Amino acid sequence: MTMKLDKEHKERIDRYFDEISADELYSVLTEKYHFESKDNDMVIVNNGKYLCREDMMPAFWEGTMSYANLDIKLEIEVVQMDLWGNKSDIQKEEFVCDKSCSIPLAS
Amino acid sequence: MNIKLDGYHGTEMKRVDSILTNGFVPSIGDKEWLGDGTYFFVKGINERPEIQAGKWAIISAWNNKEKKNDYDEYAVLHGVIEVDENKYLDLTEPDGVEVLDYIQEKYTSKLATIGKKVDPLDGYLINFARGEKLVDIEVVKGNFYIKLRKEDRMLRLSRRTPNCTICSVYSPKNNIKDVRVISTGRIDDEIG
Repeated sequence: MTMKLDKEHKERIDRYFDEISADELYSVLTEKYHFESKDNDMVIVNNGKYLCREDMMPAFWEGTMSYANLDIKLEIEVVQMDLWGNKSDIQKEEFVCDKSCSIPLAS
Repeated sequence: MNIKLDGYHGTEMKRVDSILTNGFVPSIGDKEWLGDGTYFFVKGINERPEIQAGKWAIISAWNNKEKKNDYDEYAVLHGVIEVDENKYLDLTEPDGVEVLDYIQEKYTSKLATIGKKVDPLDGYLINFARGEKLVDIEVVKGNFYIKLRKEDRMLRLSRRTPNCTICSVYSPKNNIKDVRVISTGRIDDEIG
């Protein structure tokens, strides 16, 4: 027995978010309810879209994303350079997969 | 239909008379748990919430800055939490979680249009939902991991698997009945 997301609740919530502007909502959340801003995690990509940097990078490094299916390739390249920019001493060989490892790290 | 829950609240002994006379005073600022309100241990993930309330009172006595206990005696109070089921958000049930998920989905989508992101701590979200009247909540229940042993706190042990079911009651005067002391003790005896 608990409150449910019924039609009435859904309509009330939808109406609130329809009527408030994004800027006003941000002020309400951060100033009135003290939500902590995480703006630094966001990166701007093509066509004014925004992505969370930490959400984007693991998929890229795991090879589940490729340039072919991205409309954000320019930004991905910039992020890649940021990560590797000061690490020229790291050799590629360090990342060779040990296939004797029993943990299925890569397949 | 009204929901009834047995709630247990651990506190320092000197507050008991005031609570019994004037009622509980809601805490403001517990935003990492279930938002503002008076907190109670209830049955759920643990069958002995009254024991957990006692442990909470004992470890809460320790003032790490002063390296001493702030109080020497504690008490556990029992109260009956009574709430209309439509004003009761049970975050241990899928239906309850769905309400919070929907609100989170709506605000994150809206903020994404201006490239903003905020940290969605449970308590912040519940305070926001209540404060902006998105939902009419009087009592929220949820499962959390709470450090109940001195060692857990000293060693900063933490984990994600919850060990307690707790309720936050926003208007104790409206939703708490029949408050009575069920046990008392001395901190020194318990900690040793």
